[in-house]
Amino acid sequence: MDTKIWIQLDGQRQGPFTLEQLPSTGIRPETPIWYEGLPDWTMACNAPLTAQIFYGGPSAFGPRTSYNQQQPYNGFGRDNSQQPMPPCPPSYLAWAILTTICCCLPLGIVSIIYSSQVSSRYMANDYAGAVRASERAQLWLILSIVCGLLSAPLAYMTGFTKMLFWL
Amino acid sequence: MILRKRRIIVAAAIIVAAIVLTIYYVVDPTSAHMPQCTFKLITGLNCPGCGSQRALHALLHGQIARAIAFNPGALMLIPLGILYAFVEWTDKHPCLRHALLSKPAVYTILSMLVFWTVVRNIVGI
Repeated sequence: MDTKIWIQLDGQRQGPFTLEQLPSTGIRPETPIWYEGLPDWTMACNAPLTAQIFYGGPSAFGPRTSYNQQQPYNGFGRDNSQQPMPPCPPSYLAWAILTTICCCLPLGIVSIIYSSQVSSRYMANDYAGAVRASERAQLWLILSIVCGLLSAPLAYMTGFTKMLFWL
Repeated sequence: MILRKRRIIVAAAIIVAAIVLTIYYVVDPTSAHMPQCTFKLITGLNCPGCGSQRALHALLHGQIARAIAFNPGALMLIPLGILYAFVEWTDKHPCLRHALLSKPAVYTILSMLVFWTVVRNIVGI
């Protein structure tokens, strides 16, 4: 691979380097890097091409199949493509959990399950799948909020009439 | 760009949380007409969130023991929520963020929710 990679270390732009030269520059996961194809400076552990430096070990530049099995979050092993992925789509996890316990339990659980898939699919290089999971998580999130809101006045009235019944 | 969007969402969430906390500090859920649990009204069982309003009110008034008595499960979600907001706000821990959002982590939370629901209905909390 002879992709030219620029890095920013201590506020100074350095480069270009090849992928093989990068580890010896002392870059860290959060070092901003750029190569042609990235929309902007990206952290080294986020950019597909350079992420493998941190997820692998000394075997990162060895045969692809050797380390893919051990690293659960390294999706860049088997896939040799050099196309950078857009940033990870939102997973709505926090909202999903909140609506599950506050608004609507069954629909909220569906939303949680979809939002769990977003990150795993993204890390497995399946951007389209991650986007689909994100959209479905959002859909079920909205459904559960609507369902909770709709049933709340219903329950309120049921409770109210129960109270009247007791009186 | 994406970081800014995430930060806007976190900021909005913090504002909403501040409003909610103010409301729960002032109002006592047992006496006033606060939203009730539809799950409980329909099935008679406790959902994982049952008692969280009263727990929040007690917590805001410093009565930690009572807060735990109302709903310990929901209280355990508070530090998790803070951690999640922290990870979304700063962009320095993408590996931690993806670990928190990964399938094993989410399924752990989900199964803890389900477990808590079942347990609290058996024990009667």
